[in-house]
Amino acid sequence: MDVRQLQYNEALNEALIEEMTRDEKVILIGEDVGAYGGVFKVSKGLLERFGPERIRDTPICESAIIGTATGAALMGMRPVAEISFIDFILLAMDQIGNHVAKIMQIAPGLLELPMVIRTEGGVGGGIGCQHSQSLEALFAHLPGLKIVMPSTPYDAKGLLKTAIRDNTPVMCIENKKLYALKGPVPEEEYFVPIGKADVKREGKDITIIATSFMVHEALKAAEALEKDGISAEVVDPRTLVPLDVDTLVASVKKTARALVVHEAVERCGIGAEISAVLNEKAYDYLDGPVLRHAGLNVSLPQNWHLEPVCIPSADSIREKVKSILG
Amino acid sequence: MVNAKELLTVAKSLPVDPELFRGLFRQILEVRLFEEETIQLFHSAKIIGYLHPSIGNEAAEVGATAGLAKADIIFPTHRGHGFFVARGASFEKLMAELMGKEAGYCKGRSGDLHMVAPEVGIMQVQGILGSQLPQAVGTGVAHQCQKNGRVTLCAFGDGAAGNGTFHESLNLASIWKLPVVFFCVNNGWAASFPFTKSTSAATNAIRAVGYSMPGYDVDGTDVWQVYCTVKEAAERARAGGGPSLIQANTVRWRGHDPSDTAPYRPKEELETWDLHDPVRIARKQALDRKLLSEADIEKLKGEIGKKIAQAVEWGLAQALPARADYLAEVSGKF
Repeated sequence: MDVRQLQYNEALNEALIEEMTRDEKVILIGEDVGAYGGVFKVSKGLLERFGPERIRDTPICESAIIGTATGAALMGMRPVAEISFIDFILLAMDQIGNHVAKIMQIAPGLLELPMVIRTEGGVGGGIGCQHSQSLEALFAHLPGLKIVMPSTPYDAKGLLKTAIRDNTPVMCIENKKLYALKGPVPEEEYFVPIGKADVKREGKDITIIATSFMVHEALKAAEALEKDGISAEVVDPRTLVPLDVDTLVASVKKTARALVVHEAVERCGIGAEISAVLNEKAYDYLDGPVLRHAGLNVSLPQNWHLEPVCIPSADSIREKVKSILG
Repeated sequence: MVNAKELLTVAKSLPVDPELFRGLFRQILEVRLFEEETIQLFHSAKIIGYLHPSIGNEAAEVGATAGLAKADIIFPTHRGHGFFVARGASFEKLMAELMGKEAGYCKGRSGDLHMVAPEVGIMQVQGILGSQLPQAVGTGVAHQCQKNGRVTLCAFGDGAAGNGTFHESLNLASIWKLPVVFFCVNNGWAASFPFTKSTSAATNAIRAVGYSMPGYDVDGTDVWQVYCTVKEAAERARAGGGPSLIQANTVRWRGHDPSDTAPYRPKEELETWDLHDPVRIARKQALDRKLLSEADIEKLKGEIGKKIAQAVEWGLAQALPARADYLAEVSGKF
């Protein structure tokens, strides 16, 4: 039987519907999540289905969106807060960095914070430097947050469902270019565990560790590399915190080469962390340094003609791999 | 020019209930004696890290707590020990936490600045001033969804009212008609910056008008006035009438913390402290109303002093958290 195909945003929508139907403690808070159905249509139809008490459209107040979700979680609700563009989350950095990440740790055993912060990132459509960033590394630097970055509709639904049922804060960072992507999503219920990487394509000559939209660029590159006689393995960490180090090391053990690819700017990006971890845990298996291929260290111009210069693509990944193995 | 007074709401004054007033006086005294002890312990380095004593805010904290129901939630300010004491939190666990001991409320990880006591409905103190306002709004959302009949009192200082979270939170609470009472304790000073220079309104209470909620400006050194006001606001919130904003005016005793000698404060303000001392005021009220005698008060002092001394002794005898245990517990977890 053919597996049903859903768009990434439809898969997320389904995850919300299932969890909200199952547990009335799950509520959604954010800008335009109501009648508009969310900027990227993830909450489409939810207002009609669950009503305004559980689907809370807010004014523009990112700090209060996260703070409100935090307070609701402290009282036993399971809020999902939506920040429509990750760029806006900088307005809520105090709530996330000083509170969401820390509350449980400094009140051990006393408080639980079962909340999810959904947001997105990534370049696309020429909308400039305040709507296109990939800021996941900022949050990975804050002990106390789990971070998932699904790259497929299947992972998006499975990870969001797991995140909603988790009793600690989870950030789900989506990608604006992925919302319309179609992929198989089974009809029956399933979960994707937090902290488990996924080998998206097997190979033996090099491991390409890619996140979010770059997983798809890496897969295209791997296909093209086959024509160059190079067999590339593509690994998607899916979760940045906690990082599935074992799967990454196992892959590198097999290929002896590693390239980390992400859209976020290279400096202090998650690639730096992955590279350091592989240096510590897989040095003996490596035939060369772990390299990074990431976003240019620049603030993106609001001009789609210039965007390709600023982020990796299948072509640039292919060239980078050839230069490593050439 | 707007007449500020016309924008304010005044709570209905309730007749003084002798039994309740005696209880409030006892709590005010408890807070004062507790804090006098914490200051000594801070100077002798038995209390570690930060300390922000409630001296000057006793009546505001005690009166506000009394105006709530037992199941209601309180977000204290960073200067909020009085709320813990008024709610009947364990003196032993409070002292132990301030001393950084494993037996404290938070295993010695929160101290003065992040204390929390869910067992008595008190949420975590936050060291980022004003950050608790949206969190209080969130508890209001939970009360509304759970239809649990609870109200949240969100305390914050005059300084914190300058934070953007003040606007975001009051606006949200108002549009959603949440059961939240915003309780601004104006002790006149945000660290070294005076209210008169930091605040563009005569009182934060008039800002309530802009959020379509009642605003009360009360004497925060008068426990009964605070009690009546919070009770009215809490009951309105519980009945579905939405949030209120109260500014309770107090006078800070000395510095921001025990190491601050407050050279920036005018001499005459410090010299007139007695006029604003909540303990003196409550004492006079109790004596004038013949609710307590001098002998009763001395007896109370003795009882409370003993209770505090026992808590201190207990706290001092507790162990610090073992470093190896802490490491084993947190390593690789976050």
